[in-house]
Amino acid sequence: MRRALGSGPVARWGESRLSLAGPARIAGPLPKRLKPLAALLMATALAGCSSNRVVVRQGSSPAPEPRPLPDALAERDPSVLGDFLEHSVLRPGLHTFNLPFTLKRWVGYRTEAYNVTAEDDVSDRAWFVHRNARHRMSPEAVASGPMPGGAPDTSEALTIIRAKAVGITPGFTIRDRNGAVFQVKFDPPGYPEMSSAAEVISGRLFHAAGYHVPATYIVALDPLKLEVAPDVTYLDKLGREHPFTQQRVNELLGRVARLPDGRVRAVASRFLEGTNIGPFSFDGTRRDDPADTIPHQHRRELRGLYVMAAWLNHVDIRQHNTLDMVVEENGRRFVRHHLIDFGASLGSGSIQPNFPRDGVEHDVDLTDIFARILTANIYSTRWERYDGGVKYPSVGFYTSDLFDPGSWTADYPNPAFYERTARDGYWGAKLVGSFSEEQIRAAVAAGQLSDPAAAEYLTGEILKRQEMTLRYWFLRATPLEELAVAGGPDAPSLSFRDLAAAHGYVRAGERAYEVRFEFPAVHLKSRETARLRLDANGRGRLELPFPAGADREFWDELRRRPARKRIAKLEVKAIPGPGDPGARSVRIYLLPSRKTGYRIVGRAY
Amino acid sequence: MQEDSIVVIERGTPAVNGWDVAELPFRLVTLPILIIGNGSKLAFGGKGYLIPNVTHLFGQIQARGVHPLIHRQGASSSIGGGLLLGVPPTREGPWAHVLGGATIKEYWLLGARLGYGSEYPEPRPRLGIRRGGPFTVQGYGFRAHRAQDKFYGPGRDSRNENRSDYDRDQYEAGAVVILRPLPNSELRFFARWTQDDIGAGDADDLPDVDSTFAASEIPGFGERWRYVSFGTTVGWRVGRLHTMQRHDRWLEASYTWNDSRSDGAADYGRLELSAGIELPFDRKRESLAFALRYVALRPSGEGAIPFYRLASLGGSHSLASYHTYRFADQESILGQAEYRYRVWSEVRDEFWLDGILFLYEGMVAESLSDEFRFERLKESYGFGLAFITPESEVARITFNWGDDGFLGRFSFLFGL
Repeated sequence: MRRALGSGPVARWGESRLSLAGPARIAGPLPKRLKPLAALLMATALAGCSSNRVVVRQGSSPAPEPRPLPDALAERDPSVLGDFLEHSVLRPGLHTFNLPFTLKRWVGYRTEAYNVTAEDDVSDRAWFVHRNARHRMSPEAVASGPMPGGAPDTSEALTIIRAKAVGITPGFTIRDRNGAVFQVKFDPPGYPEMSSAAEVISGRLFHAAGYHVPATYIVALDPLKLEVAPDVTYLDKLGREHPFTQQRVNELLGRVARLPDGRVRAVASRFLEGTNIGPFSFDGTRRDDPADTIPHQHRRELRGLYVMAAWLNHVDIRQHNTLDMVVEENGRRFVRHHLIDFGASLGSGSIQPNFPRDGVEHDVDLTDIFARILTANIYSTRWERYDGGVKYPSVGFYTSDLFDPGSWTADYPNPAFYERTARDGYWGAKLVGSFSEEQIRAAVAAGQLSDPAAAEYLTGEILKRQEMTLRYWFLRATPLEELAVAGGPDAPSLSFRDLAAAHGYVRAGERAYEVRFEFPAVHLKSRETARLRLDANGRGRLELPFPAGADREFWDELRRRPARKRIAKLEVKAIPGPGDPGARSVRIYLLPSRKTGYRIVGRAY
Repeated sequence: MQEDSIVVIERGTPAVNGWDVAELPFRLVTLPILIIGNGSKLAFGGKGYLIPNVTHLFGQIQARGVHPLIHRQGASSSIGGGLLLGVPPTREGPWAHVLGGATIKEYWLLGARLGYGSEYPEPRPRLGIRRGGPFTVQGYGFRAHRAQDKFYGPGRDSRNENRSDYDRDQYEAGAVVILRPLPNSELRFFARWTQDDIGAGDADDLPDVDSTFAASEIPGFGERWRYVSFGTTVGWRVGRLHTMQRHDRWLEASYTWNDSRSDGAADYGRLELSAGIELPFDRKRESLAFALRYVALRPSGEGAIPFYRLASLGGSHSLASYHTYRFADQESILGQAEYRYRVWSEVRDEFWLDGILFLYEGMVAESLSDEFRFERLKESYGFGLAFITPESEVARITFNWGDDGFLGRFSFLFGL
């Protein structure tokens, strides 16, 4: 009845456990008197592991369309200081007093993201659109970025229509002769190219990953071609309003490094399409958006953003660097959620290089502070004894030396990052892993660093951090991808590609998995250790059990069952090698199929 | 039913679980914190109206030559507000201002200063040399009211139970010339006239000094005593007292001759010697700091030294587990050792929070050479936190233990 498939490495299952004697039998319903007991047991189980809850939906009952957007949405304008205090002080304080919450964190309990699909992925295009991970982009496309309309036309005069004239670096809002409006920012004194390059490089990579970002461009502005629109004013340090004059423009540009031809390098961000309704919060929902029903801290694309942010050291990832725009596409109005302002990423801290502490410890980290106080400084974090510094002023401080993909921190706690699980991390790691070296080089080239050595250094560090990121997350999951079932009911098998093996993070050759299979409808249940030989690309095949003697009666009986009772569950857990961390299992949900034996209907990493 | 009708498996929003139920009472208990927190968010909310507008308001006021100040008036004075009208001594060239302030314990001060040459272009260091140009000349005059200064009796055996208060009305006028001939050094010459009226204290919960001590123990009480003083200070200092540089080391010697202009008050000289060093290690994350200070008053001729001018120990920057002026006599010696370690730093290194473990030892005596014994030293030990900048220590909170028991302290270095 059972046979090994001829192609590729195959796992064999113990016949004695999985084959049924005689014709396959469908398990009957539970006796009525046992149902209350089962319900109680189920409720108890749910209390401990609600994150494992599985919902099976029928295709004939699609999720209802959200109500249309109201005509006008209020513009959110949260306080910077209030946001900082809430997330750095208030919430950590509240968590300290909430003992069950603390205990829950200690034991590692986390709620999984709410908005994952059957593929353990996301589908809400208002937040995220799969780009490089799904359809490999050309390096040129990565380097081009969003491109909605292109760079400002600097061949003619640019008109300054708004100005920020105080602070370390000035900023303008300009309009080019085509009427396109851009936000223009300059590099901080002493660090030419640093923040503008970071803005463009990170923007390109976040865009290629799938996030919505504004189009940014490195531009060289001729100060003689900057005109000030009438009635433009600025506020000084004391809040007094002054007219913004051509003389003031010249004063401000006097602080900025010049290119050899006298022009000034800047980064221009094209204003986003649509109506600005302010930033989105990394927790809760936007009440006036009917489509915004998933609390943001439980959105996979925001939790998984942690991995991208860690890779690119986007330490300033907070709500003030996001922006919601009401847009209309195909006759439908909706809110599109953007990440903006990557000036404090990679080695740049926007107005100065990042410090070794950035990415290692929050600006105010109460846990670290109290640990140092109570241990009289025996406790320390790794940045405190780090001797390295800025190697290239145009890069700032960006290194893999201090990087830990699992404990990287933003400047202050981000609620969505705080809720992340290993599965969110694995999802984010797949985004990071989707970039090839050529694509990364193309993105770095878009930053137009004039020193080839600086560009090479930055590329090298990005690649190192990418490698560290993938190793970290791929070893903490059972990273089986490219899943397919073939072989038919007689000998179904699951083919897959193990990303940890494909990247060489586990020893080539044999890989061991703990495999559990459950098919409650036919009382089929097993637990085995499978040792598979994987090829150089990490591909392997796992033979699946199937009830012996499945005849027409079996299929007819099975079809009469509700969908949720026809599901079989395959749980595969990679057995770690010496020194490797423990991996979480991947659960694959299978539906019996006459053609292939099983059809994959869902997975959860 | 078709197999193809099953299209998705997702987790969706989880049901309420046991953890949520367990957390509920704790969430209720912490609700007030949340309400306060959200209230503060509202205060800072919107465009952040509160802070920018307060900053704006202060900026507008300062642009008109009025500088709001947090006012302190030395030990025991508590905290209050003040104003400086005019040009503060923070620039080269001439400056002049009037200033005044009051504290919640009814201490107040009103004065005027004029001078030439900057004196402290940044927050004042707590002790020792102030930074500035090659020289500073200034004249000043003020009247101050100290409503409830404390006295515990003279000598090393004074008792905490004898804590009592007095009121001091001060008039002072003087001139100071500060020369900075060499880097890190300072030579200071000063002359001043002072008048003190000592009377019953204002604290309702304390006895007055005259009801606690014999008249011979509190010379100057109920009197108006005037002095004319001349003095000089020679100092050398590298670094600053407890800053992020952790490179403080200093030597300072000061001598003042106080010439009595009142009957019963003795002429006396006051000698003060101090030295200190801070030794950083572990990339300046940590340091050990040591300081030694000796003060001696030498009366000359008839009369007595006013009790409120004796060399004293006790207070935030002295024997911290004892109240200010807890021990007072003609001589005092104080040794201080601190282990300082950084527990937090602002990312741009504008502020640090230092943890401190400390041990202070000291004693007072009429004559230390006759009475000094190690076993007679009073000690104070504890731990604390200090908020420091590249220029100075701004504030310090300490938890102190000593013979008088536990004493928590908060001290800061803003003020006139």
